[in-house]
Amino acid sequence: METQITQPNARGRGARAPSVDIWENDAEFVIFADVPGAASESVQVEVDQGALRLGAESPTVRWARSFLVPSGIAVDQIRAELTNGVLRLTLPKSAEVRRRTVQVKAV
Amino acid sequence: MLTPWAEFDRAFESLRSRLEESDVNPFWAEGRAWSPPIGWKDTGPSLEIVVEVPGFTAEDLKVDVNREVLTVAGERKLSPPAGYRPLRRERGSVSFSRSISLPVPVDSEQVSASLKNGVLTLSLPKQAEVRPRSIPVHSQV
Repeated sequence: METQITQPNARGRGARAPSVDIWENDAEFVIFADVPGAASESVQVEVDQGALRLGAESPTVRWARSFLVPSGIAVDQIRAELTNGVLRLTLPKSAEVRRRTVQVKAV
Repeated sequence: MLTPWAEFDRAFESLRSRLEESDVNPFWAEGRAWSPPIGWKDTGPSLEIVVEVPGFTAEDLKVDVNREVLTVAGERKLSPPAGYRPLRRERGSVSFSRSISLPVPVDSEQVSASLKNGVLTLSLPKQAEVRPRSIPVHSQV
């Protein structure tokens, strides 16, 4: 199982790309994005054909950044939390992927 | 032709390719010098200054102001989440201190600061003598 979130590949027009940290463990990926000024109602997360698009808006700034995500993300379980202008996105791996990962480790 | 520069070219090329292969941006190291984007506007009676400080709490920030200089300083400590592997790191722990010469003297007693969604907003009322005054225009019949 390839569990790689690759380089961000696109930016929305006129938008600023937030700085991000990306973390991974066996169960999930976590993305932290600096989106100062953005209100939680403005946060948008879309997953479409392996691309995750993240958007947020403040009264003066539009934040946008896209990522290529591996298959095997439980899209319906993605969670987003906003604290002090930092967006935390949690992308759980699907149960199937997790099971496979465990098997590999056991060998 | 062999020139001394060829050696530099090779060294730079090697460095560049190693940086590109790396997941971690080497210029974004822990505790690096970093400076938050700052914007300001003149509302007439006061100056309004906004500083982008995502992830900072009020306790992480320090604002000092006198008549003519504003200093904003802060430190954000990020601890890596336990048990996770880093795939990409652009944020990190940062600290900064920025001093700004104010274009007009302000009333430091009346300065207010508020933090919301990672944006610090400062309102600095101007000293009375530099506040704009509206001059009524009287038409003569």
